Amino acid sequence: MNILGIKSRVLFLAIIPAMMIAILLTTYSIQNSISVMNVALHERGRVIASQLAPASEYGVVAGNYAILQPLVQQVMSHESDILSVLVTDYAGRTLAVSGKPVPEHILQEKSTGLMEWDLGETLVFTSPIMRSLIELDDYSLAPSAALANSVNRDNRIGQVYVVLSTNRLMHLKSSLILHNLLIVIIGLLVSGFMAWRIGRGITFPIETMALAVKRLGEGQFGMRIPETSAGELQTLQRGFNTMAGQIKEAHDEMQQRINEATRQLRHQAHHDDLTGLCNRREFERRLERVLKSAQEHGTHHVFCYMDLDQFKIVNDTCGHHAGDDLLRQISLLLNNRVRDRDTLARLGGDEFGLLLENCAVSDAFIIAEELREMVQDFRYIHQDKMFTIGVSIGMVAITPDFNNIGSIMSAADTACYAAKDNGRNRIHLFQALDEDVAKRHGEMEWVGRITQAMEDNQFCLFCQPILPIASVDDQQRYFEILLRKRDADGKLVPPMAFIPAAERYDLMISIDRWVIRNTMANYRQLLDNNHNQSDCVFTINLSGVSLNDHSLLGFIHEQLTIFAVPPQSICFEITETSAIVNLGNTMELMFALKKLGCRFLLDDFGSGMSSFAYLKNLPVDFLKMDGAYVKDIASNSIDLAMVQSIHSIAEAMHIKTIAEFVESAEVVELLQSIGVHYGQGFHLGRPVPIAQIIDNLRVE
Amino acid sequence: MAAMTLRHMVSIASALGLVICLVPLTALAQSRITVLITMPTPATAEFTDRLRNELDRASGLKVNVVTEEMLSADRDSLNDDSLVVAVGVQALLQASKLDPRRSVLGVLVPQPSFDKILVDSRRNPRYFSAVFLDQPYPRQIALIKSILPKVSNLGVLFGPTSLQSSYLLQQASQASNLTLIQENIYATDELVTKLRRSLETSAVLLAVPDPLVYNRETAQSILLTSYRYQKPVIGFSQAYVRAGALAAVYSTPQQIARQTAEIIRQHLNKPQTGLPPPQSPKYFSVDVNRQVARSLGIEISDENALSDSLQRIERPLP
Repeated sequence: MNILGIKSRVLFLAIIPAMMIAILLTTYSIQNSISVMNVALHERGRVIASQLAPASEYGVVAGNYAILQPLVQQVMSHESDILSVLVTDYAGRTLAVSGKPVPEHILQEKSTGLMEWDLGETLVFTSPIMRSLIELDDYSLAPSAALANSVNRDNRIGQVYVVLSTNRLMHLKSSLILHNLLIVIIGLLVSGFMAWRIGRGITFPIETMALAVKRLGEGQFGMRIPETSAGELQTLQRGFNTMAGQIKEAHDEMQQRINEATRQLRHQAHHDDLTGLCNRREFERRLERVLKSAQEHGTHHVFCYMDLDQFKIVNDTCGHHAGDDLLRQISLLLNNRVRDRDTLARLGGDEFGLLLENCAVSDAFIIAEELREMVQDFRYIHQDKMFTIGVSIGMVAITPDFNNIGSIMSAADTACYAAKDNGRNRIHLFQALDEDVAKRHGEMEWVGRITQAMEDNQFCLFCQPILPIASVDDQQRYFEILLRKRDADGKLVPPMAFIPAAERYDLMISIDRWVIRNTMANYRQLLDNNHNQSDCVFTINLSGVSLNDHSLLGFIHEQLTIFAVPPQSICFEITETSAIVNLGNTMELMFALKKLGCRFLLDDFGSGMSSFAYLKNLPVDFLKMDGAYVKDIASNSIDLAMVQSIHSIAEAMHIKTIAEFVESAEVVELLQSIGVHYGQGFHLGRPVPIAQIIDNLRVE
Repeated sequence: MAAMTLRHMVSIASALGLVICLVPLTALAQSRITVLITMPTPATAEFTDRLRNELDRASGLKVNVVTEEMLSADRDSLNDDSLVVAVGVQALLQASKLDPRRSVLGVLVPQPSFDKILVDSRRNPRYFSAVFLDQPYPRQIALIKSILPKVSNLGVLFGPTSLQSSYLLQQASQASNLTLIQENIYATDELVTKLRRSLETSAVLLAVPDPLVYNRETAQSILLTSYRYQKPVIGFSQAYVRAGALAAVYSTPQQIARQTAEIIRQHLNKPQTGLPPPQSPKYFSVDVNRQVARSLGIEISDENALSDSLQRIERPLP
């Protein structure tokens, strides 16, 4: 029963009781009818026999057998079931007969009353023919019989036999059973059909619901069923629809979230988290496509490799958050300017890539230059500090010559280095020749070259005088020690050509130490030339890396000792930016050196974040104002005001001020009017080889 | 019918009461009539009532009714000098065993039965007489002549008993110019054959009482066979007419009682002469089965008229 569907169950529910009732009723009715028919047939047999007997009496008594035969025939013809009729006299002699012979053994029986035999296919009835008694005497008190000789005789004068066939009864019975069965079957069919029709009203909604639930389970959340039923079924239908609606809603929401997450993942796979620009992988993919396009169709594309200058400072000074913020702002800035079809991507750290598709090199230059200027003009402000950023751009024209994007990236890298080598914040277009240059620019190359330069004395020291402008009671003469490199041709190479590389490959400490040692050596020379006396003060530039070098103090101390240079004659120039990278270390170093007697000069003041607050902390003796303000003070009142304010503050803190980039007498006059203590510049004295100054200062 | 029955029952009861009261007074009663019956029946009651009425009205005689049962219980219950009227064959047989000097009158008894009892009891015919049940043959012949005037012959079946009086019938038929076609039957087997033979030739069958020929068992066959031959049967009793006979002349118990009362009065007037000889019924009735008559296509006049006509034949008006 449990494996049946609801339709079958309803059908069974309707049919089984009906079937049981029908079977019981039919059985009862058949049994009843059969018994009635049996009784009726027996009754008929008895009636025929018992009526035929008196009817035959006269014929038998009177010996009038002629009237018996028609009587028998008549009985036969009136009753279809009668097989035979026999009338005998009291001795069993046949008087009249019709039909088949009566079985012999029955004829032997002497019956006094009505008797019957059931022989299966036939029923035999027999009845004695009795003599009728009619009273003839008026007075029973005078019966003539009483005196008669006659004894009490047997009144049976004959016998009637009637043989009935049960064939027709059998036939009737079987037809009755057949009809009853037919009626039962038809009734069951009809009731089954009606049950099916009625049941459909129940099963159809349930099946619809079951199907809908199945569909829902398969994921068809839009599945709804018509709420056509009434009562509980309608409640179910409504409940299903509500449930399906809620499931669909929940599913849709989930799907939306999955889509969103997928979209984010896809975006993240292709984009940089921080800036939202394409990431390196996506960029390389596009690059590959572009390269293929170039190889197949000969189209022109340009790839710019952009590396931010000064980013490290922001990152180190203000923390990673600030660095990230800077990157975001730069990204936004750059992205606003690139064309829609171009791809700007962050390739890592502070490196960006720009892919300019279908773009000539000349156009690329214009775009790149625009971007470079934008970055240059951009000021990053963090808390109360302001930073100036630059960008070095290595540009590569993508030609079919490139085998793969690896070679393109390599070329761009090389070009970018070249840009940096050339003094940063500029654009360098990759040339095939650069390959060789690039090779020479390789790390080992540089390390080797710089070391070699130091050993071969390819480096040389120049110095530029710092002269008093305003009235200062300072008898000492100041010179800034500058590093130059002399190439194979004897041509001088500006420091910006190798400093970036040196910074990159951590060669600055070596360079700084070379400068310190050689300056000390020169000062020894100076002292030796002037009887161990000199009023000269040499200012040595220290890079930020060196300020963090814990062994630097010992090295300086050692060199001062070796060359017996009075510490008072040495002044170290540090830049704000390098000083604040690790202020603690720097302060420590500064106090230690000050203790020895060395002095400090804060370089490029006002260029970057330039906070006056540092001035309070850093024990500097001099403050060198950034040349950018100084060179234009004659024409720019803001710059003048800046210089004035820097000076007045420095003076308030008893720090002497130095103006660099002093390139005209006009500037000198203005500086004097302001009260700036010292000046430095081409107008006051160009850098000259140190040996020349030492010679000039020789006490005649 | 109920009233009749009730009346009879009252009569019987009073009769019984009388018997019981009078038994100790038998010595005082000079002339008493004792009616001996086998058992009380409507017929005996009818007879007794009428007899009592007749006797009381005329001579103030008391009628005492005694059953056979009472008689066998107390033989002394009968007065020595009383006349015994025995009703029916059985009662007559009983009465025949009484004191031979006692006068016994049998009523409602067929002549053959009386003859047999008389012979067997060897009683003195002077004190042992009867009023027969049987109608005299001339009377029956007269009936036949009245209702079937055109018949010329007459079929009769005699049995062993009735054969004794066959000569009377022969005489009567001859007197009426009728040919008697007589068949004598000595066994039941012969009945059908002889009946047919008789019916084939005779115009009418006259039934005469005989236990062998005319009894309850044979009645239907005889009537039906006659009917098949379209021959009328003249019966000997009212019952026979009801059973299918065309007509019968008979006497009712009252008619017999009337005749009995006359005999008793006559006898009491002259006791020394003894009882008169046995006689046929003096008073009678005629009954006709109209249905049978219609079936046979016979026109018959009124029963009373027939009866009167028969009376006139027997006793022509003075």
